[in-house]
Amino acid sequence: MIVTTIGVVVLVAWYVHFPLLIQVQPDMAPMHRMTALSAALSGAALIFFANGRKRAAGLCAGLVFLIAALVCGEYTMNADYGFDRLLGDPYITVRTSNLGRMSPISSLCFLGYSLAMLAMCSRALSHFASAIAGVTGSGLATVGLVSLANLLLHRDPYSWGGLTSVSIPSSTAYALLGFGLLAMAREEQPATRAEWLPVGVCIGVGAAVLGIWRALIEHEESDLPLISLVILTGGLALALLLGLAVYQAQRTQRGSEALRQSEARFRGVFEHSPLGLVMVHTDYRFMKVNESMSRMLGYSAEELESMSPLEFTHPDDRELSNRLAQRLLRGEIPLYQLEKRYVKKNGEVIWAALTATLIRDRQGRVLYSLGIIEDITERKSDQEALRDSEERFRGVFESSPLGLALVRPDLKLAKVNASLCRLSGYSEAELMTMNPLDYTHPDDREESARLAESLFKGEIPFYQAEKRYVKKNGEIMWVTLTSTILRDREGRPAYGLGMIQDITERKTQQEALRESEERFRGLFEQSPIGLTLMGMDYRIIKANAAFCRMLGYSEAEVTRMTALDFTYPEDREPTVSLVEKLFGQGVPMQKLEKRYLTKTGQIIWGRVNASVILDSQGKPIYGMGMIEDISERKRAEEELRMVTQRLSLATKSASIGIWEWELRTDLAIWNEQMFEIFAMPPQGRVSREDWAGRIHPEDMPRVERFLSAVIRNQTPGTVEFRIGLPDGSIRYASAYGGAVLDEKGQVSGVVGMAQDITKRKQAEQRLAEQAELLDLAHDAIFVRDLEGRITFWSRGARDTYGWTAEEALGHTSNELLHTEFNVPQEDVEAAVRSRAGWEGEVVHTTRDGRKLIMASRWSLERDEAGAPHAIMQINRDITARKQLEAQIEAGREQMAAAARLSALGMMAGGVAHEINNPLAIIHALASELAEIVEERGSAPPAMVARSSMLIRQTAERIAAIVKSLRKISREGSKDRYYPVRIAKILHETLELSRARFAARDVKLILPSAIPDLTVACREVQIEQVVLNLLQNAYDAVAGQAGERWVRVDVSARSGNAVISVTDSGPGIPAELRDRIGEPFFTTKEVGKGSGLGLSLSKTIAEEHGGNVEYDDACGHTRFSLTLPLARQAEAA
Amino acid sequence: MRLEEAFVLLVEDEPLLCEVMSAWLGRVAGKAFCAQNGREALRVLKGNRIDIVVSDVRMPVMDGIALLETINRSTPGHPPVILVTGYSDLTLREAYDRGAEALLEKPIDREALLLVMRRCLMQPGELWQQPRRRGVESKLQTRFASLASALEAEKLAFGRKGFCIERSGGLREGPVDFSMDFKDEGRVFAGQGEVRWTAPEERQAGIEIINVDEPCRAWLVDLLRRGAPAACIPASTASASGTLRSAA
Repeated sequence: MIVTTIGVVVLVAWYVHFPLLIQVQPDMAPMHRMTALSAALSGAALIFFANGRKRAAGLCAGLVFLIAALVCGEYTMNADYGFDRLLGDPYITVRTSNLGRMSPISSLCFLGYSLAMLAMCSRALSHFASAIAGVTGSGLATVGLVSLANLLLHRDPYSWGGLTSVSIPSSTAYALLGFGLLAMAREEQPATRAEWLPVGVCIGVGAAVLGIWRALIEHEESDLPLISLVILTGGLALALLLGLAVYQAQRTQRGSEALRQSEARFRGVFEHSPLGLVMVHTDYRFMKVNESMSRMLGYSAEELESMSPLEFTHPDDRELSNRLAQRLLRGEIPLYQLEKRYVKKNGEVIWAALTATLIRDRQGRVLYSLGIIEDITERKSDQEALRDSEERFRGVFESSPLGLALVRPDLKLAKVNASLCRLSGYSEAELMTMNPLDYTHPDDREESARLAESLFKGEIPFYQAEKRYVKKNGEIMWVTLTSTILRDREGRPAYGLGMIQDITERKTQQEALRESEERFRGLFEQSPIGLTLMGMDYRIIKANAAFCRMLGYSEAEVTRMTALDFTYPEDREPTVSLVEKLFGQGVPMQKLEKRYLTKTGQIIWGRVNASVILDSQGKPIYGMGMIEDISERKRAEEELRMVTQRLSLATKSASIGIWEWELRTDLAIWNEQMFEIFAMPPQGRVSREDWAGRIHPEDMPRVERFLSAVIRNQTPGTVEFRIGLPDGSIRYASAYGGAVLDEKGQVSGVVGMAQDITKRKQAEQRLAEQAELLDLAHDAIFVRDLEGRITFWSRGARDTYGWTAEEALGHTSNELLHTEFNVPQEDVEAAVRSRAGWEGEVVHTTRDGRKLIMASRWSLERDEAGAPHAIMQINRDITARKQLEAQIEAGREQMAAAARLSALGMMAGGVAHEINNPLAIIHALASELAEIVEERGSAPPAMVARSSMLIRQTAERIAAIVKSLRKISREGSKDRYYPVRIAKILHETLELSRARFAARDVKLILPSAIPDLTVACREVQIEQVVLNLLQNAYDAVAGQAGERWVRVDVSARSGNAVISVTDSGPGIPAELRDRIGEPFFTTKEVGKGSGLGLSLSKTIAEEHGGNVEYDDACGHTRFSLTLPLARQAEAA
Repeated sequence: MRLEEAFVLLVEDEPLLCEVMSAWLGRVAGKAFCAQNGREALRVLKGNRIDIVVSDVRMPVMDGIALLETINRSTPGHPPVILVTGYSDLTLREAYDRGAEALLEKPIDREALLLVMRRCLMQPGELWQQPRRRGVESKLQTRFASLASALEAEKLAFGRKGFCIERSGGLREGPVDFSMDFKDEGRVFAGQGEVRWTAPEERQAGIEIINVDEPCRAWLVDLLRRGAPAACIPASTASASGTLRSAA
C-alpha cells in the first residue's frame, strides 16, 4: 500500500512539478516515472496477492516484469527503445545517465520482484514460489535498506559507473517490497522449514556487502583497490558462511522438533488412552500410570506411582501375576497376557485383562515394562450371570408346581417338567414325541394353533388362554395356559415356554357360584335397610346403598374402613363383644343398639341385627349386619330423660319455686316456695287469675309471651317479672319453664321454676347507677376494701392511671399506684376511720411510670349494718397545676430580675449623661484653676473659693446619683418594711429621671409642695415602682410631637397615699385597658420593654397592701400607686 | 486664620459648664459666644460672625445633631462644627458623615479641643502640608484604574477632610501612610492620614487626611473644591457625592 502510494505520489509529483517528493533532496537522484509506475504496480500486485486475487497480482507483476526487462535490455544492449520517456519528459536529471530511465539496480530489483511475484501467482511454480519469493525478498529488502541508509548518508551504493542512481523513494519501495515478499514466503513456509532461508540470508548479506563495498569505493575514490577487494571477498565469504550457519541451525531445529512431536504424541496417547496404561520399573515399581488406570482403580496417579502392582492385585492372583512379571522382566518372555483381578481402593474387585511387554532402548537394554490393562469386569460378570441364570432356570423348571413345557418353533416339545406329566397323565418320554396340539381339546385346537403361530412370528409377546386338554385317560381338563417366547442371542425365537395350570375344579364351581351370587347381590343392593358384609378383621367387605346413605360415605370409602371406624367411641366395646360372640362363640344372631358417626361427624343411632355367614366347612367367614336408623326414637327418649332429671333436681332445691301448669285445665300446681315468692297463702291448685293478679301489669304481656313461646317452640325459656306485694312494694322474680309433652307429642303443659331475685336486682341497679355516676366523673375514683384491694375502678381511674378495671381489680391500691403520702399513712388511715374521711395530696405512679400529684379525697363506706367495709378514693390530677405554679413562681422571680435590669439598662443612658455633665463641670473648673495658676502664678482667692465650692457641690450631685443608682439596682424583696416619707421616695426617683426627661425635652411637672405622708414600705421596691411609672410615662410621650410633659401628683385619700403619674399622652385605648398589667403585655416597640414593668409594679404594690391602677377618668394617661399610710406610731 | 482671631460659639445646656468653658474660650480664641441649646445657637449664628461652633449633643429644645444639620443645610459657607458628648449618642463615623469636624468626649480635653479648633481654621492646602510623622507602621496601598472608576465602583469616597475606602482589613485606628495609584491617570495619591474608624464587617474604613504629598495636593484641593462633599469623612464608599463623581 505504501509502495503504491509512493509510486502514485511520485508520478503525480512529476506532473505537478514538485521535486521535493521526487528527489527528497535536490542533490539526490529522482525517482523516475517508470520506476514510480513499477513501484505502484508492484505494490498493487502485493495488495492483490494478500487479498487472494492472484490473477490481478500476476497481471501487475507481468507489467512490472515487462518494464524491468525492457530497461535491463536497454542497459545491456546499450540501446534506447524510447519508452523511458513514454510517460513524459523528465526535467530533473540529477545523477541520471539516461533521461527518464530507471537505475540499473532498480530494473534488476523489479525484475527479481516481478519474477518472484509471478512465481507466487503461478500454479505450476507454486512449489518453488516460497523459495523464490524468500530469496528475492531477502535481496530486495537488503538492497532497499542498504541503499536507503547510504543515500541518507549521501552515499551512492548501487550506481554502476555513471549510470542512473537509485532514488530515496525507490529504495524505500524496494525495502518494503522485499519485506512484503519475505512475509509472503514465510506464510507459505515457516522459517524453520524454509529451505530458501540459507540462500536468502546468503544473498541478502552478499547484496549488503556489495552495496557497502560500492559505497566505500565511491567514498575512497577507489584509491585502495586491494583493501576494497579484501573487504569485498571477506564480505562475500561472510555471506556464504552465514548462509551455511543458518542451514545447520535449521537442520538441528527440525530434528529436535520431530522428536518433541513424537514424544507429545506418545504422551497424548498414554494420558488419554481409554485403556489403563502403566509403565513399570524393572524393580517392579510403577514409573507412570495414566488417567484411565487411576480411574479404574480409584487411586490417584500419585498414590499408584508409590505402589507396586502387586499391592492391588487380588490375593488369589498375586502369585501368578508375580511369576509372569518376573519372567517378563528377566526377558524370558517378550510379553504376556493375563486376565486377573484387581482390588480397587474402595475394596471392590474388578476383572482386568493385562497385556505386559518390555520396552528397550536402542542398545537393547530394558528400560521399563509397559502394561496395558482393560477393565473386563462387566464382561466377566455377564458370563457369571448367564451361568447362574441357566442354573436357576433349570431348577425352577423342574420343581415348578405348574406344568411347564418348552416348545420348539415347529411345535415339537423340547422339554416338559414333572408337573406337566402329572397333569396330563403322559410320561415325559411320551410327551417328548408329541405336539401340544395333540392333547389339546379338539374344539380349542384351532385357536391354540393360531395363537402359537402368532407367538412364534413375534406378533404377540405372550398370551394367556383358558383351554381344555384331553388327558391320557380321556378326561377333559381345564387349564390356563400362559405362553411366552424365549429367544436366542440373535433375537430369533428359540423356544416357546408354556405354563399350564389346572383350573378344572374352579371352572365347574364358578358356574354355580355365579348364579347364587347374582341373586344375593340383587337382594343386598335393593334392601331398604342398611346391609353390610364384614370380614372377621372388622373390615367392611360390602355395604349396600342404604347403609352408605345412612352414614354419608360412598361404598368405596366404606370398604376401606373397619366397622369400628364409624362406631361412636363409647359403643366400640359393645360392638367388639358382639362380633366376638358372633364369630368366636358361634352365636348365629345378635342384636345391638349402638351409635354411629356419620361422615359429617353427626351421631346417629342404629339397631344392628348381626348374623354370621359360614363357609362350607361351617367356619364363620363373614358377619352380616342389618342396620336400622333409630336416631329419631333415641333423641325423643333422651329428651324425656333430661326433662325428668331437671325436674327432679329442681324439686330438690328448697329455695326455688316449682310450678307445673296444665294447659287443659289452665290450673297450676305450686310448691311452698312458689307461694312465698308470690306472697300468697298456700292453697291447692292455682288459677291464672291468682298469679296474674300479682304480676306487675307492665310485665304481664312479657310473661304471656314467654309462656306462649315455650308452648309453641317446645323449648324452655326464662322470663323476669315484678310482683306487686300487698304492702305496695315490688319484688323481682325470674321464672324458668319448659313444655311438657303428652304421649302423642302434643304440649300438655308447662313446668318450671321461679326465684325471688329482688336483692340481686336492687344491688345490680344500685351498682349500675353508682358506677355510671362515678364513671361520668373525670376524677380517678376507685373503691378499695379495708385490706386495700381494689373493688371498683372508674373510667376516670382507667384514663388517669392506664390500668383497665379488669387489670386493677383485686390489686392493692397502694402497691399498684405506689402511693406516696406527705403525712404518715397511718394518720391517713386513722383519719378515715375516725372522721370517715380524709383530704390531702398524694403522689401516684401511673402504669407508664409517670408520677402524678393527686388531690385525694377519701371517704369510708359502710355496709348496711354500718360497719366500715370499704374506702372510696376520689383523686384529681393536679400535677400540671402544681408544676405550673412552681414554674410561675420560678419564672416570676427571674423575670422580675430581668425586668429590673432592663429598666436599669434603659436608665443607664440618662444616668451616664447625668453623671458625665457634673464630671465635665468639675473637670472644667479644675482645668480652669490649674490654667490660671499656670498663667499668672496664682489664682485670685475669690475664684479659688468659688471654684472649689462649685466642685464640691457638683461632686455631691454625682454622689447622690450614684447612691440612688446603687439602691435601685438592689432587689429589695427581702428588705424590712420601714416607714418612709413619700417626699424622700420621689426625690430619689426624680434624681435619676430628671436628666433623661430634660434630654428629650419632656417637661417634668412636680407638685409645688409634697404633702408630708409616710408609708411603711420596702423603700427600694416602692422607688422601683415609681421609677417604672415615670419610665412608662416618659416612653409614652418621648416620641410624641408637640408639647410633652409628665406630671407627678401626691395626695392622701382614705388612709392611703396616692402617687399618680400623668403624661401628656392620649390615654390607653379602651380595648387594651384590660390587658394592662398582664405579664409580658406591652405597647412599646420590640426591644424597648419587657412587658413586665407594670405587672411587677402591681405585684409589689399588692404586697404592700396597695395597688397600681389605671385612671381612665382624666383625658390623659394616668397611673396611680396607692399605698396604705403608715400608722402614726410607726411613722414616728 | 489663627485661633486667636477666631470667634467661637459654645453651645451647652449646663450653665455652670457653659460659664467655665466660655471663660476659657474667651482667653484662647478671639471671642467666645454662649448658647443654652441649638435653637439659641442658630440665633447667635444669624447675628454674628462665627468661625467655629463647639456644641454639646444632648440638649433640650434642639440637640447638637439637629443643630449641626441645620447649620450644614441652611448656612452658606457654614462654620465648622465640633461636637462634644457625654454619652455615645452617635458614633464617630456618623458624626464625620454628618459633617462634624470632630467628636470629642466629655470631660473635654482642652489640648485636644485646641488642636481640633486650629485645624478647623486652616485652609485644606495649608492643612495637608503639616509635617509627616515618622515611623508610621500602618500602610495602605491600593491601585485603581482611575479615580472616576474607583468612585463609580464604590471602592472609595471622599469627604471634605478625608476619605472612606473599601478595605478588607488590616487597618487599625491611628496614623497610616497611604498611597493610591490611579493607573490610567498616571497619578499616585500619597500621604499620611489618621484612621478614624473601621468597620471590618462592612469592609470600610474612614481616614482623615493629615498630609498629602506635594505633587497631588493641589489636585486634591481642586477636586474637593469642585466636588464640594458635605461629609467630613463619608460613612461609606457608597455615599460619595454625585458632584464629586462628576468632578472626577
